[in-house]
Amino acid sequence: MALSIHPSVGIARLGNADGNDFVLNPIKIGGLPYEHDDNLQPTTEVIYFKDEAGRVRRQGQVFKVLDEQDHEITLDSANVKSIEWNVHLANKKAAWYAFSELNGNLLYGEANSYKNRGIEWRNPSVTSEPERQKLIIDLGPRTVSGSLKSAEFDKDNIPSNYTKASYPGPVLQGEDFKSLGTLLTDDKGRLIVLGGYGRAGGNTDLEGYGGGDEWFDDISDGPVTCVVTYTDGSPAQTMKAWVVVGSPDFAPEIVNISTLNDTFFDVGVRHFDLVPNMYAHGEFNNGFVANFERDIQPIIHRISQYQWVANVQSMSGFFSYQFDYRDNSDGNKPNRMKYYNYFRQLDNKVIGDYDQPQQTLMSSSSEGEMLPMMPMNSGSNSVKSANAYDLTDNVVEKFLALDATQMFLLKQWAEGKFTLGATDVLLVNEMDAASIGNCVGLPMCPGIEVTWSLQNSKLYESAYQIKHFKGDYSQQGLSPSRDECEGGGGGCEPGDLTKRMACPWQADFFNCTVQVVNFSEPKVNKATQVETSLSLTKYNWKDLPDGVKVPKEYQVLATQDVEEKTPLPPAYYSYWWPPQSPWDVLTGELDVTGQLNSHLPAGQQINYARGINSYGQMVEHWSALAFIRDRNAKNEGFPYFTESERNHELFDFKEVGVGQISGNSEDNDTTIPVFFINTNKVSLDKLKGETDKKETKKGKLMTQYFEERAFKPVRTKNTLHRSGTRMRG
Amino acid sequence: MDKYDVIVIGGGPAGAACALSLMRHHNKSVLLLERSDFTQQRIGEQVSHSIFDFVDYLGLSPEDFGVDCFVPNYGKISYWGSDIASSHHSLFTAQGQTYQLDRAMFDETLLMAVVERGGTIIPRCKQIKVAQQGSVWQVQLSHPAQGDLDFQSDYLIDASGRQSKLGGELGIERTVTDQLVGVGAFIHHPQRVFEQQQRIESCEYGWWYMAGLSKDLAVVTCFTDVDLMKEMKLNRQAIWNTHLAKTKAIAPYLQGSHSTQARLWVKQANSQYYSSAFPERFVAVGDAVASFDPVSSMGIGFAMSSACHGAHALISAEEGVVQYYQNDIQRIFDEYCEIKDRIYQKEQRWVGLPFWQRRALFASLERSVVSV
Repeated sequence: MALSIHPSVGIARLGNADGNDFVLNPIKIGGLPYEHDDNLQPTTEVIYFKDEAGRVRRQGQVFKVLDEQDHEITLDSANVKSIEWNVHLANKKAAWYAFSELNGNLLYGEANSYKNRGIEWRNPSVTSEPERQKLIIDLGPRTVSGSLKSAEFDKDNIPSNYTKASYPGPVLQGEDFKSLGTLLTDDKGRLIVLGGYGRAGGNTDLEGYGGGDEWFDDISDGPVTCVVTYTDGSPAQTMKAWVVVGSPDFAPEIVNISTLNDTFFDVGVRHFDLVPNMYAHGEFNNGFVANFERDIQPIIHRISQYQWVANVQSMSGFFSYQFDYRDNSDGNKPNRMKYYNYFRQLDNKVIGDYDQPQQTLMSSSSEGEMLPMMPMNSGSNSVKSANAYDLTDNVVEKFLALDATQMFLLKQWAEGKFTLGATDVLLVNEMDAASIGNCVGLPMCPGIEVTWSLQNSKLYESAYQIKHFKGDYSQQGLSPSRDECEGGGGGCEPGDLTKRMACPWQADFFNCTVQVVNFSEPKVNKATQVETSLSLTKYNWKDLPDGVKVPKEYQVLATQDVEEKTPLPPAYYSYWWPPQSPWDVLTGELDVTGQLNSHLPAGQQINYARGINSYGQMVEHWSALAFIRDRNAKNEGFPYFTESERNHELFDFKEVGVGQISGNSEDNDTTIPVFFINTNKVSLDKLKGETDKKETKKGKLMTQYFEERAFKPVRTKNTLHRSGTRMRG
Repeated sequence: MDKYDVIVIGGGPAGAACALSLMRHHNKSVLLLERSDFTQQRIGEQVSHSIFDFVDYLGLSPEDFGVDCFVPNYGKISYWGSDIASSHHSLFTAQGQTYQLDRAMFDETLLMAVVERGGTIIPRCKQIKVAQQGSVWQVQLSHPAQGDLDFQSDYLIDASGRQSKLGGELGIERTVTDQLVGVGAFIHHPQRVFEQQQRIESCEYGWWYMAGLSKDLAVVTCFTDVDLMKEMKLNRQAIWNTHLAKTKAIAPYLQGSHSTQARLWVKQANSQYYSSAFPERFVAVGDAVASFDPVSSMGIGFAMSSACHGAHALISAEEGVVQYYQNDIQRIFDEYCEIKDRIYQKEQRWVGLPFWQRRALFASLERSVVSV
């Protein structure tokens, strides 16, 4: 009987709380993560996302083994002798190419390869292959089996036969490397993968969203294999899966309009016969009947949830139910077609064609007929112009379009080819969809968990299955330069799925929520702005005796200011992936202390990342950000998302009078709220922590000890308490 | 709902000493509730030798507190009544040898003893509410990890400090004699050895006090009346700094150091006591029952003595013992007022200025009654 691992691609999320303080993965798209009991069984939806010190708890991914009837196989199953899991996490970011938008994406053909595009490596001063291999964070594979066992991906337990392990040494900025993560088994022998601790460090100043040279973070990915053996001597069975470690999902209940599950589904449908009656022999079947609840309603719901993390009012017509979206009658067809036609069609993936749908912002240019096309996000290259990187034909993709399969299903709906009511014909295993369904699918520039390489069928063995590269890593180690998208594919090595992402991830996370996108020039995103100021000096002479004439003289002075490349106007304010990196959010503190700490009333729309004002601050203080949570989640249909668990204590607040900039004291009646990290305060807090470490640390331990003695069991995680100063949903 | 013999509210030295006393001498089950999580920096104080008698009474020995908990005082340098420094330590105490107390070690030892001897301590108790129903005390509170909790007891002890609102809720009157406040900051100096350094200096609007807490950390406080503080805006960092800079004893010592917190703290430091009768099966101890001007250095010693006596009075079967205890408190407070007046009278340079005028002879007799 054939067994399989689910999810086929799991998603763990890093966190900086103590190693044993973690949550477990959500079990649906847009679901909350779970608390767990001592047997590592999920109990209730997350109570706190952070620990008492305001540090984010890691999110573990549970992997299960199912048989062909979808019955789960555990250590308790009859005839099962052992379940052994092997995972190999690695981080190849520092050894890969510098991120350069769509360059290197082989879906645009061989001419777009990194080599042909002349793209530079990260850390270009390291040139030899063996030396570049040492840029990889690779601590070898780990194995766990049995009940409630663990293994850590740190330098202290590298397998003795693994000869090519390497990891970053001490750094000048940020934190030193500690570990890529932890493997655990629950009491039934299921695997739980936990990622890194959110540590990132480097030796250079961060300047761009792609990160910097000599930097590392503790993101990783890698293959998962599982061997089940039997007591009756039946042959052992081996199965494969993959795991990706992402950064925290700060708004887990809100998902992107195109998720990574949509990407996998699209690849499965168009390349692996996942749904043969939807797509076969290279084309979609126009007779395919979609299902509203399964295929369409999620898209509408995601658009409606967007407003809690970003102000995209132009999308409001797409969830306003101005007509019955479920009405599949012919009479309703004009409404549905109108809805559908507002969605941008996809570009052809060819180099040099700039007259394509994804270059277009508005539905029409005539007044009264104008709406920004859907979805109102940036495309996967709205950053660099056609002539960037010394190329003349750089691929530009200004605005977003849904993927081909999403667009096909939407078209079937518009044409009335859809059924109503929940269907039990699920096209994909629910666990497989839930894990990656909470990741960004589009746009990918590069994204936050994984990027456009996952659109390439060469990475897959079959639908939803990442192909494992067959190599003996223990002697050779991992390749720093092999492109798994090239040639025949051959499969992925540990670290391949995340190696294109920003290094460290915080750089992209800080920069990539909004993008101002030029919409007039198809080949141009940004240009260098040169500002020339002229000043004219005119000399007139007075009190001269009659008859003396002095020629009037003019003097012209010019100064020229050259600015960094800036978006060329006219431009449109567009979003990347606010469900992962929120932008406009509501404040949520409802008690006095919380509001005093936050300096804001509840219910005010405010910038999410306020107070974090540089790349460096994001590297250090990402865990201070709020989790966006539906405070009315028990009453479906009436959402109320606000910030919760923001570490207000970190930030100082000042209202700056406009007069301080204009010089006119009357302007001071209008003020601008400014949030910032008082670096003095932070360093002195640390200092204070050192000078009276004896005192405060002891105090904290005492409190722990007293409470352990006073309350048995120590902490009940199954009940939701409403006291205290921290917000819980 | 859990029932205890005694619930003590407040986990400072007075509360902990009560708990120990009740367990050791009266065999009572004790629940101690504390608002904080014990991580706050506490300021050490001078104590006299008599503290060891109370330590002994609680079944502890000075060695249990660790080697550096009680450090003999070398006296403080004072500029008081004169701008010439005096370093003898007889000015403010007549109690013989005094010790500088490491509050963290002291408090921790007492609290650990409470738990080791079977007492229960719950830190982080918020919104504590008490009510007496018949002869039973009902205590309600809110805990950040445990939610709402309810407890019952036969006896209740208020050890919740000088800012306690408990007495007011129970209808106990509090007499307040002045409006002294401390405006202070923790000061760090990368090189300076602050250890065992104490400096005190009077000025037109009050007095300044500096005490070393560890080798590079000190606490500096300006004591003045709350109306003067507001008038002078002494709670603003810049103004506070300017006035600190004018001090003779302290400022030169702080060159090159900086504050460890963004804001100054302001704390009540006035003299006050509970002056009306307690409810049945209730006593207050420590700063809650009477608190003193810091110039007297009476806080910790009184916390210990009032805790031992108060706990004993509470449990005593005899009629009127709690009233005797309250009379004692009244007597101690009166004696303290005389000592305090004497100290303030040693400063004669600014007798016409409000701060000093208010503390002139017999000022303490004109007490105003404020119910809190």
